[in-house]
Amino acid sequence: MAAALRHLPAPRAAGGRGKAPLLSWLGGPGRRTAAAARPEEAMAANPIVTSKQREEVVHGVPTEVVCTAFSNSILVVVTQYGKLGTLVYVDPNTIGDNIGRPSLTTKVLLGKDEPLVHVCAKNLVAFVSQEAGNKPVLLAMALKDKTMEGIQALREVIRSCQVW
Amino acid sequence: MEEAEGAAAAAGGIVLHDFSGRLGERRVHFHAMRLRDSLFLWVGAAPALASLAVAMCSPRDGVPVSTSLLGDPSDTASACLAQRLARKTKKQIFVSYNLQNTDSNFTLLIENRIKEEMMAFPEKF
Repeated sequence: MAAALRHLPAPRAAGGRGKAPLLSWLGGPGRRTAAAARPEEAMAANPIVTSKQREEVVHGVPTEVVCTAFSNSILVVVTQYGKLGTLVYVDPNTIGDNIGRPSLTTKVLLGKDEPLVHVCAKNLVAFVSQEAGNKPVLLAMALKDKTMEGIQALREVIRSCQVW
Repeated sequence: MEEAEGAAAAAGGIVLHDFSGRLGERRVHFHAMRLRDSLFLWVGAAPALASLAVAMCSPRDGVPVSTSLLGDPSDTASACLAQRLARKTKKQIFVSYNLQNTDSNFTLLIENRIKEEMMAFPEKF
């Protein structure tokens, strides 16, 4: 625990929000920074992709979020089961709707293909795609709480793992 | 630090691990995400994600079953690697293999590099 505390300031400086609970950073970016300094992991000094990770209790449900930026897409993992769960590819169309925003196509790559999955996916990561400059998002979600309020809260956790 | 990582792994938290290797002429990067009973592994020289496949062991068949999820379905490199890792780890494996070079000698080098890292850091996989 003491060792983890020592590295706390690093992830904050890397864009973390001040109000983040202490434990959520245990798996945060600070760990990689620390690991890279160890000689036996020198090869991992420069990860080619950036990831941010966060653990938080959202509406009473322990939740993990990991966002990874690839050059052509963003991977977002939102899990309340510890697994990837349903994989959805959220792709912005080049031809936008009338108000200039590109419309999003959602395609379930793995898992239950039902309307609620498409709705949740769009609600969770439409802003990610948009803010990343209309990149497609590969979303992995395993949710216990699919209520409107739950999704909204999860969106904020995703926002706190901004890598785009 | 080590205790913190050990605790995270024991609690079933997602563990991220980056490593790389010089294979042949080029540096290949790996990005692993350890989840509950499953593993996501990205392999590439440039930071693009163009293909994805999943594989898992089947109770009836000795050969793990696999399927392509994203990218060109005729490109079986991701599926093959996922299958081989599923057989080794008995976990559900997601692989995104993003290298042009898919000849068997080269993929063997890739596989060996992954296995080497799995041996060195079993708690990360």
